[in-house]
Amino acid sequence: MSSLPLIEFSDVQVQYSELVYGLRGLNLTVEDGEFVFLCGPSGSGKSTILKLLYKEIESTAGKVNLWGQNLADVTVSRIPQLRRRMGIVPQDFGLLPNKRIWENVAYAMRAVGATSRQVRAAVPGILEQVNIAHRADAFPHELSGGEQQRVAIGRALINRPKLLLADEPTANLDPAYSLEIVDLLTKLHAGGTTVLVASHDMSIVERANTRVVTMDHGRIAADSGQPEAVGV
Amino acid sequence: MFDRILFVLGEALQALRRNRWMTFATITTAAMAIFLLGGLSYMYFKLNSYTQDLSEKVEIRAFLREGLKGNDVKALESKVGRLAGVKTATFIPKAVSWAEYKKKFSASLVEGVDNPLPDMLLIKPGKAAEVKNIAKLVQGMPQVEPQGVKYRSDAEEFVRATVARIRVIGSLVGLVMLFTSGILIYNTIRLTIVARHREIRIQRMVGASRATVIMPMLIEGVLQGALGGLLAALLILAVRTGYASFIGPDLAAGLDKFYLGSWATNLSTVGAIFGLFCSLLALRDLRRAR
Repeated sequence: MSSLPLIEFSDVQVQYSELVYGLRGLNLTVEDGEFVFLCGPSGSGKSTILKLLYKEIESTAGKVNLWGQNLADVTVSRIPQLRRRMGIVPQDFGLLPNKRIWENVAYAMRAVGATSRQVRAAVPGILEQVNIAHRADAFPHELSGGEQQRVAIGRALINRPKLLLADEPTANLDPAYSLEIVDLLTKLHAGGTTVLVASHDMSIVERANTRVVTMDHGRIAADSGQPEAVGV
Repeated sequence: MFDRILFVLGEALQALRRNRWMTFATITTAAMAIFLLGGLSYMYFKLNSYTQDLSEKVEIRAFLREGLKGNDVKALESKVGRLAGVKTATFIPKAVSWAEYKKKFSASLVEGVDNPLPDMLLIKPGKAAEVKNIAKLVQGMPQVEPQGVKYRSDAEEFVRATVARIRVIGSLVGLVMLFTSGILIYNTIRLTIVARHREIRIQRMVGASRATVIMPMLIEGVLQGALGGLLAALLILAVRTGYASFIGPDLAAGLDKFYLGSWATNLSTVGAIFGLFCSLLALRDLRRAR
C-alpha cells in the first residue's frame, strides 16, 4: 500500500456560477481500501466530489489528487484511461433497454476494447459477482429496481476497478432493495475495492458500519472518520 | 483489433438503421447534389470541347444563282479562294450535292423528285473567327443567291449559350442541394447523438476512447456521403443511357466510353469526404466533451 492517500482534496472549490458553489474549500483524504459514505441534502456537494474524481467537471481552485496524481494534469484525451481504473455507478442505472442484461455488460466491455472471447469469458463471472446471473437473459424492464442497480454495479466492475464511485445508488429503490445494494457494495469493499458512495438516504448510511462524511453547502459538516476536518 | 472494428461498424450500421428515413433523404439529396455538380461539370466540359470542334469544322456554303456559266463559276471560285481568311473554296455542282443527299436518305423520300438543290461553293475558312467577315463578303457578290450564304455559327452560338445557361443554373441548383445535403448529414448525426445518448453515456462512464465514441457517427456520415456519390454515378449512367438511346446507336457510338467503376469510385470518394466534413462539424461538441 502507498503511503500517499488514495484520494486527497486540498482546498478544493467548485464554482458553477457567480453565486452557486458546488464545493467551498474542501479538504478530504480517503485511504486505499476505505468505504466512505458522502451524505447530506441535495446541493450539498456530495455528487460534485464524485464528478471531480472522474473528471466530469474541473475544480475552480485547489487540488485534487488521485493515486498520487494531480487530476488537473490529466488532459481530456487521458480521461478514458483514468475512468478505466475506476467503476462508476449512476443513480439512474443507465441500462440499455433493448439489450438483455448480459448484453448490457458485454456492450460496456466491447466499448473498452474487449474481444468477443474476453466478453464471453468475463460476463458470467461479473453477473455472478453481483448476484444477477440468474436473470442474464432478461431485459432491464423485466427486472426490479434493485436488480437493475445490481446490473449497473456489475457493469462498473468490467475494468476490475480498485475504486468504485456510486452516485445515489439507492435513490430510486425501496428500503429492502436499498439494503441489498449496500450489502453488495460492502461485499465488494471486503474484496479490496475502495468505495465512495454519495447518498442522502440516512437510513442506509446509519446501518452501514463505515466512515460517513456529511456535506453541507459545499463544506464538510461532519466526518465520522476525521472529525477534525477543515472547511466546516 | 478486428473485434474493435466490428464493434464500431456495428454501432454505425445500427445508427443508419435507426435513422432509416433521414438516411434515405440524406443519401438522395447528396446524390442529386453530386450529380448536378459532378455530372453537369462533366457535360459542360464535353459540350465545350464539342463547340470548339465545331469551330474547327465550320464551313460556309454559298448557294449560287441559276444559270451561271462554267467560266463565271471558275472565276467566282478563284475570286472567293483569294479572299482574306479563306483556306479553300470548292465548287460543288448541284448534281453532286443531290447524289450525296440521296445517299443519306431513303430512296422512298427522294424517288421521283427533281433535284431541287442549287449549285454551291463550299468555303473553308482558315480561322473560325473569320467566318462572319467571309460570309458577308461572299453574300455581297452578285453570283450568289440573296441570303444564300449559310454557316453553322447560329448553331454554335446556340450550343454555347445553352451550355453556359446549364452550367450556371446547374451549378446554382447543385450548390443549393449540396448545402441542403450537408445540413441533412449534420442533422442526421445530431439525431444519432440524441438517439444514442444512453450508449454514449455508458461508453464514457466505462472509459471508452474518444475514437470509439465518435467513430460510429463519423462512419455514418462518411457512408451517407459515399452512398450519395455512388447513387450520383448511377444517375449519370442512367442519363447517359437515356441520351444514347435518344440520339440513336450511330451517334451514340461517338460518345465517350462511360466507366461506371471509375465514376462510382471518384464520386463516392467526393461524397465520403463531404460526409466526413459534415459529420466532424456535427460532432464538434462531442469531440470536446469529457
